[in-house]
Amino acid sequence: MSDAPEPPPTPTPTDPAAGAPPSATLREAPVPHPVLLAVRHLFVRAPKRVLLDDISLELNDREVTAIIGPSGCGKTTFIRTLNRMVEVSPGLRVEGSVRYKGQEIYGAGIDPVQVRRRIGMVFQRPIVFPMSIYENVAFGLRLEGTDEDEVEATVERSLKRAGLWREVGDSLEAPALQLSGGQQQRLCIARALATGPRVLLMDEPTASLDPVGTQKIEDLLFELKHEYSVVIVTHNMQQAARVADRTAFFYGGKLVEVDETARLFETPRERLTEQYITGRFG
Amino acid sequence: MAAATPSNPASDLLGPADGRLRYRLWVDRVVRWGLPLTFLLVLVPLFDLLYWVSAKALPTFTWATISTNPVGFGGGLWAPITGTFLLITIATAISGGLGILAGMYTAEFAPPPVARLARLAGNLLAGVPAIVVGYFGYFLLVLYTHWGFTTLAGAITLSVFMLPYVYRVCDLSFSSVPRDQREAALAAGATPRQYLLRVAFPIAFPSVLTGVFLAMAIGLGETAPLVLTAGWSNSPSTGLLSTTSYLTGVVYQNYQFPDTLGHLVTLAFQAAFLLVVIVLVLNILVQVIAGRYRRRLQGLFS
Amino acid sequence: MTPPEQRRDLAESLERLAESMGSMFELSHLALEGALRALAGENGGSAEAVLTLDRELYGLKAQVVMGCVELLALQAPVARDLRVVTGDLEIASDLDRVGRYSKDIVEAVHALPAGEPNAFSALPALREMGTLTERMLTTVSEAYLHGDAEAVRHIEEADNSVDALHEQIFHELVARISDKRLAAGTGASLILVNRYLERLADHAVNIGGHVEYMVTGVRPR
Repeated sequence: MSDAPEPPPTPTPTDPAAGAPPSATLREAPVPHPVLLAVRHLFVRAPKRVLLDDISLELNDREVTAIIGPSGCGKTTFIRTLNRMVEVSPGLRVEGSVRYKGQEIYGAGIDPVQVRRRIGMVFQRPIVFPMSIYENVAFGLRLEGTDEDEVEATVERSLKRAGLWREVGDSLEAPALQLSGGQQQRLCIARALATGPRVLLMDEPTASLDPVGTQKIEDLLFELKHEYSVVIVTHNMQQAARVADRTAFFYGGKLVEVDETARLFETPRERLTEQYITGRFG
Repeated sequence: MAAATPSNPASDLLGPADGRLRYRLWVDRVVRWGLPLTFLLVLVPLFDLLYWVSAKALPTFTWATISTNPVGFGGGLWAPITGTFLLITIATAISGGLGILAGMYTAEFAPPPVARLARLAGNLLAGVPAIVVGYFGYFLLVLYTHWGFTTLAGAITLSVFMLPYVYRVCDLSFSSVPRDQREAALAAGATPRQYLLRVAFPIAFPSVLTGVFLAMAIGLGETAPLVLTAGWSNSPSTGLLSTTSYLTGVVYQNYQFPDTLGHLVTLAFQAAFLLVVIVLVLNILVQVIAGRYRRRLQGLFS
Repeated sequence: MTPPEQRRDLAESLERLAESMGSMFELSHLALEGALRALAGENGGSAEAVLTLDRELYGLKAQVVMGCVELLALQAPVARDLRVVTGDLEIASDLDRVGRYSKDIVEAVHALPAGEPNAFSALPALREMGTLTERMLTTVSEAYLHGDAEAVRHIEEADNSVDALHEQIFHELVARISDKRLAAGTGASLILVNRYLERLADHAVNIGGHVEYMVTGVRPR
């Protein structure tokens, strides 16, 4: 899982969502890895039922993908398979393949810890540790024994990227638990960014925030997608419509439809999708 | 709700209390005054005890009471004080270490059936009478080992008695660390061990500390396990494998003597007084220390 | 679509919108009929009726626009709901234009000198054009009311015929005016009527396109 820390910015921003598949013969892929995560025939089984039923989905680099669907449709389970957090819950069996830059993350010899450093996660409620702001962001780096100068630089960089530096830059030693909910959630994003991931998984990151906090997270997503691939689970279809380049609709553990967001909300192909997004059920 | 007649718009709000409501208000009043009264009732024996012990112990309490060894029908409490501290230190080290590790294991790693079994065992152990624990120590550590009565046997027996208290509190402390802390730590790339040490332990620490101190206070007051294992001596312990002296032993032995025999009974009260003071200090100490750590956790359990 | 148990407010707003649209289709139809009757020389008060219909259509259009804006602002419709709302916005202004052109035709007929034979007898091709245009409007309004994209598939071809007739009538009128067979004033009025009918057909085509988009999600060309 070693790669150059930051791929150079692409000179001509080509929108992979624009339809035409990149003509591989003409140009050597302008974006280093157009597909960052490739999920193939993924099943997750609980003892008595199937939580995810044959999911195949590709997640592009530098794009926000929203996962929508009614409660219990497998959205959360799905993103938890992408960084092997699903294995933390006892009794779930994962089958199928998830490839990160072509490498099987469930492969032999791959430790979940490695995977989670490359594929960060942010939860529904902001989960900060009862430590200082600084130590919260440094958490992942300390685990690897990174030297202090680098930790300091990374903490600052991560807080800036998460749009929190201006608010907390001069009170890094303050307890993180004293921040507001929205700030805590951005702190969690900074913590996830600190280990240098390429993918950011967000499980309803604004579910517990007020409109201002929500807006800041959504603004942040627009910034983050220049550098990361973001997968966001959301109950709020308007939010999916606002922030996502592509949207996937899950129902009953199955992927019903995935498309460019504008297309999915204007002209869904599946009747089930149409009924869900127009609020006819769910 | 809005069924008030227009002629009397306030009737639904300000009507006279009916029977049912009056009954509820009456119950409320009883509870409001009854609870503090009950509380005061509980305090009566406590203050009676404090008064009784102080009244008997303090008039003749001098520096010599603390600094000299018991001799014949008199002397002081130096040997029992040092003996008690030695016993409780060793016992706390053993029961604290084992209890914390076992509590962590039960809360974090044990498969659910194993955890259930472990908790059951802990509760059973806590329910075993002190005298039975004493006999266990006597047979295993005094007779079987051929050590005879020793400080070590006393400390180990005492630790067995204290262990379930530490264990149960630790299990509870680690179990009540919010589950999502674990998720967040693992998602940030921590191994389960790193999570336990860097996240869970600091969160559980104030409660663990309280549990250890509670066990110490309980251990301090125990007599039966010690009488049967540590023996008795009037001079300070000369090593782990010699007999020792302890404050509860003074109370236990001297209280049987008649008032006319020197000041043995007074010494018993003075030992009791010291025990009460030590427990009190322990309590205050744990409040201060745990409180300091707890402040950092503010907002975590919301 | 399944009877919406949820989002009752959205469903009711959409229903109200559909009612207004139904009225607009009906009134625009009556307006065009009135205009054609005027061209056929049957008067009998239909001219005044067309003027009233035009005003009513204008009012209805304003109502539909307001309803759509409110729906967009409050309900954030998506998928078919979204397409219906945006489609209705466009169709309402097309139907408003139908009312306006019908009124213009009636006024042009009014300007014709008295005693002349009616326009249709003077120019039989104009009658054919009127009939075609009316059928186009019927087709798209039925397609709209039944949500049937298939029905508007041949609307282009009808419009091509209308365009050809328009061309032919235009040259015919120019020729008659130059031959002095037709007074310049009368000729100019008939050229306008010819032009209005052609525009009416174009609006019918537009409506057909919107209906297709509403139903299938595909924008024609």
